[in-house]
Parts: sequence; C-alpha cells; structure tokens
Amino acid sequence: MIKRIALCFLLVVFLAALLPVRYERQFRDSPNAAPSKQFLLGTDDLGRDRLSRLVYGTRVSLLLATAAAVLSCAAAAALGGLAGFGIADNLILGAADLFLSLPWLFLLLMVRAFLPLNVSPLLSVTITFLLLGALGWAAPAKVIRAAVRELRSSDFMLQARATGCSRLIRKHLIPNVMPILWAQLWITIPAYVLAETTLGMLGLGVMEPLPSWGNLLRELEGGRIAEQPWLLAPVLLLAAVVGSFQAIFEREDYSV
Amino acid sequence: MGSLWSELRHYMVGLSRGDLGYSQSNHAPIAALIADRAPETLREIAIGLAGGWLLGLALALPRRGFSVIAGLLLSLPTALIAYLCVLAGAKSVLVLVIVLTPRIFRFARNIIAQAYTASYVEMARARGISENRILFRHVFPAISPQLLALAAASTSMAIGAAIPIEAICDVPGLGRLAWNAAMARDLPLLVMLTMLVAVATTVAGAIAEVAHD
Repeated sequence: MIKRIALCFLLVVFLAALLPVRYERQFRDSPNAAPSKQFLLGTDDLGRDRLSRLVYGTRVSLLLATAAAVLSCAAAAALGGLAGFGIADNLILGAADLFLSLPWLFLLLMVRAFLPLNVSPLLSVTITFLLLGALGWAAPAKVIRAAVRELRSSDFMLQARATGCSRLIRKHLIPNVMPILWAQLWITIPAYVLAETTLGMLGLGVMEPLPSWGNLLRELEGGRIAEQPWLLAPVLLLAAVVGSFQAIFEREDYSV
Repeated sequence: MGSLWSELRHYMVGLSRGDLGYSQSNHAPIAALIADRAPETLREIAIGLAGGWLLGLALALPRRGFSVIAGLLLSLPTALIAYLCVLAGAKSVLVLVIVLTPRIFRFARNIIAQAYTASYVEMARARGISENRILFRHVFPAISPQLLALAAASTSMAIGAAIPIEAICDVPGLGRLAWNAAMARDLPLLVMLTMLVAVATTVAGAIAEVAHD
C-alpha cells in the first residue's frame, strides 16, 4: 500500500516537473515577495518566481539523478558481468575496492572540487552527471558480480548447458540478473539526488541561473525560517521524494 | 620522466622520515596542519559515533517506533542537516549525531530483528529466561560480527560526512582543511589527507574483519 502511494507520488512529481515554466524570468518590481496569488511561493532576491524555480529545479535534479544512475548501473552491469565471468576479475574487483576504500562523499567532493569550478550552467549539469555516474559504479558492480557468479554455478544453468542450450546468456542469465539491476537502479537514484543536493549546497553542483534542489536550498543560508517558512518548500519536496524512493526499495547501504 | 621519478623518490624519502611535505595554499608544513586540525575532527567523530551508536542501538531494540523519524532523516542530505542545525543554533557536533543515528538505527534494527527470529530465542523464552538476559547474553553475542562490520561502516560514514559539516558549520577541522585544499588546488595536502582517510577507513574495516575471526 505504502509502496503504491509512493509510486503514484513520484509519478505526479515527475509529471509536474515537466510543466513548462520560465525559471529565469525576473519580476523586478517585487523582489523577495511573500507568497501571493501571483507567486505561490513568493519570489527570491532577484524577483524570480520561487514556484517556477522549484518546478524546473525538480526537473533538473530528478532527470540528472536518473540519468546518472542509469549510466553507473550500465557500467556496473558491464563490469560486474565481465568480472562474474572471470574476465579481468581481479582487475575489476581491485578497482571497485579502491573506489570503495574512500567514503563516497569524500571522493565525490574532492574530485568535483578539483574539476573546473567556473563553468557554464549546462556544463555544470554535465560535469555533475558524469561525475556521479563515473564514481558510483563500484558498489552495484560488486552486487552484479556476485549475482552472476552465483547464477553461473546454479543447477539450472548446469542443466541448460548440459542440454546444449546455445543462448545461455540471453535466455537464462540476463533475465535473472535484470531484477537485481533494477533494484540497484532504484536505490541509486535517491542516493544521487542526495549527492547532487550536497554538491549544490556547497556551491559545486548545478550553476545559476539554472535551478536545482541543491542551489535552491542554498537560499536557506541567508533566510530566516521563522519569518519566511515558505523557504522550506524545497526541503519538504526533497524529503518526500527521497522518502518515497526509499519506501519502494529500502536501501541497505545508507551512505551519507 | 626523469624529473618525475626523482620528484617521487624525493617525496617517498621525505615520507619515510616523517616529512609529509609543504602546503602551498596554507603556507605551512602539512604535518603541522594535520596535527593542528585533527583534534577537532577526532573529537567531532568520536562524539558523533558515540552518540549515534548509543541512540541508534537504543532505538533499534525491539518494540520501539523510531522508523518514521529515521526515514525522514535518511531522506535529507548531510549538508542540509548541517544547515538546519546552524539555523537552529545547535552545536556542530550534534550534526554528526543526527546524521549517524538513523543509519545505525536502520542497520541495527534489521540485524536485531533477524536475530530474534532464531529458534534459540524462542527456546530461551520457553525456558523462562528474562528478556534482558536474552538480549545481552544470547542476541548480542550472536550478532556481534555484524555490529563490528557496522562499526567500520559508520566510521567511514562519519569521515565522509565531516567535510560538508565542517564546511557549513565553519569548524576548523580536517574536513575543512581538505575542502579548502581541494578548492585551492593544493595537491600535496590533498594527497596526504586522502591517504589518511583511506588508511583510517581501511584500518577500521580490517579491525572489524580481524575481530570477526
């Protein structure tokens, strides 16, 4: 039941995030306005509608996290699959352990801080996406490797091989690995949403004027929550979306 | 290539003598910087781990309802929790406790719940052994390997979380040092700190593994 509600909620958020909004339009007469009929969440310092920015930022954050998760899960499937078949097993396993020997957040922040910082908004999205995708492959790859190894030595695979099945991988291995890969994808997306937010809050994520949850939350820094409680809207949305993901697939490794 | 090799040899020789190099961005020797900043971070991580374990484990014991709050806290990024703590005027050491508690709680709850399904617990209950005795004499010893692994994982989490927390709460610790080093492109300092972190997490993992055997 909770899973269904969470799934419906995520669907609604995804669809709402695709609404056409102009996040960059400035209403110079009314900067820092309180919520009104025209601006449901008020405006920011530059007179931009907060609701439009939140909608567009949701699109950026969710699509970015999903795309990065697909990238790292694809890499994990390829590398984990190869290692599971014993091809470059030691090399891949060693590389994965090397990636996992550093705390995920430490690795992410250090590598990002080392890349160019003053970049265009579009490039900053690309860098964040590639970085998350490239650094996050190790943990899912180990899961896939273990699954492939286990399947290879399973009885039904032996039976299939003994009867001379010619499409062993396509007919028997891949269909059995896919559910595991899907689960990995579902738990990777919220982790990347959180990672993007942390990057953004430290000024390393998506660059202005393009909004994302990370740089929208930066506004909390100067704001006074008690007087402007509507600043907390992105926090609530973030908690609800990540919470929904976690309700659908409980994460086992809650990296920070 | 010759200069690179001599550079590396020079560096390794220095390292073997305890000379960690010089930080350009801070205008100070790296060893002195680390010695200066480490106590703050170690104190923070120690309090964070102690508080997180105490709360997480206490809440994970059977028949408690903390799941919803834990689920909420797990949905927020570390940097945001740090922000909110700063806004609420809370001490920075509290942030790590808040970050670690739900994670330790989730792990510990799953492990403990699993242990309680074992038949020896039922047997002990049938013999009229008290719940406390079952917990401390039967369940905890049985799950100690998993708890040790969790200890190593939580140490790694604490180190990772130290960077955004110290950067946002303005704590002069190792996390902030690493952050500034990365922003100032101070390679020698960053390499040294990365090695320190890798050694710390590997040692924590190794201790858990050795204690397991």
